[in-house]
Amino acid sequence: MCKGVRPSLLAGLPLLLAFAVGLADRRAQSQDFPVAWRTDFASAREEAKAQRKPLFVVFR
Amino acid sequence: MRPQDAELTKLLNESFVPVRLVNMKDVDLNFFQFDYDLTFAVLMMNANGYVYSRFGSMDGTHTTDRMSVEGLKHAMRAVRSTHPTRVKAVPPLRLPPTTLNDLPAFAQSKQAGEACYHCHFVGAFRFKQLRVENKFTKAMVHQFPLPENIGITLDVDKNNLVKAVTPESPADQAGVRTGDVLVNAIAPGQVGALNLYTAADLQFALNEVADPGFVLLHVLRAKERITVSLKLPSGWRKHDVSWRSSQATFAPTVGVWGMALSAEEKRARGIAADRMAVKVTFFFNGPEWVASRGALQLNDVIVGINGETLPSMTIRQFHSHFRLNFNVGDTVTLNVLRGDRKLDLPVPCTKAGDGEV
Repeated sequence: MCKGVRPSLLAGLPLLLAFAVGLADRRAQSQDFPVAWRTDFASAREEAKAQRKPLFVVFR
Repeated sequence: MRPQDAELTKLLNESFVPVRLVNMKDVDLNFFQFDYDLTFAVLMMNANGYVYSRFGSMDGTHTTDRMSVEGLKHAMRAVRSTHPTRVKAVPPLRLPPTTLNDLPAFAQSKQAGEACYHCHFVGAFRFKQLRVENKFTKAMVHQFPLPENIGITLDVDKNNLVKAVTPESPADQAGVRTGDVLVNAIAPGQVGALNLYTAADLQFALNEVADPGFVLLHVLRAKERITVSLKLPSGWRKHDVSWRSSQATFAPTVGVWGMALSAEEKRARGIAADRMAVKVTFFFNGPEWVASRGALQLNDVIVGINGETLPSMTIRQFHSHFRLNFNVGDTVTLNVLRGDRKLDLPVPCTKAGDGEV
């Protein structure tokens, strides 16, 4: 046991590590599926017209 | 917003032009018509503003049980198939542009000076404006009635597929059956039929229907198109609107926050599991709230109103029930448990919090 380090802190380390790994994994996953969100509706509308695509407008 | 679903991302990037709007400033409310109380709302439309479908639905349980990624993809696929035949369609009714700042009640509010206008401002300030004009009625808070209000439960993953029909409901009486697929709705006074791809589409269509009223639905049953006419009785629009910001802006409100007791806590205090028991945990700040809570104390448990025990409810539902059933100037008796004692505490219905957004 390391001197001066509380046992409860040591016990928490694996949890912290697991959390960090999980977070990194989640970040990597979401970067696998990036969406090219437009934020200017007027230009998105022109784009939709030109490409003959429907618009998906999310309010959030 | 980063969806963690490869198919959803592919649909968004390849089949649609994805747009994310987070600020309602300068947004034309007649062009983008949806349920503004929602925290997640989608409109799928062509470049002319012809709306194919809406997505996003909530209820008083504060869960996301009414939406799923599968359901969203299902609706997107349906829109993708329809779009080539409707690419030049125009909205059946084109209203002049209007923004939040066109509402005097909003333009004169402190929120008008903020950089970001939230979606929920729209519903709240529309009600505020109606109140200024003496046109507001409490019945108006029952916006966008749920499919269950007419007796239909929709499949959360397949959107417009009828999963269940409530016996003796308007839908049942009109002949809607489990397994039917909703196609469109026609409400009196509405221009054209509204496509029904999702629960949100049905709610949008129902929002136009009076109380009492009627609505025509077209459904597909074994590839056959059937028309059903639903007669909707008085009070059909009523549902739990406690989650809606728009209904939380008018008095009376008891100036407390609280927490519903758990089943175990209820048992320990001799309260039936299905009855209301809300423990007061917090007093609203400010002198204006003091009178509104009468002699209520922290940790009091509200178990009834005017001698009536009510079904289990959350603190939001309690506030919603209070403001929809009582008026400023009334005196209401809250039936309370304080320790082992049963108390009847008169509470004056004050104007505290009235008009706050």
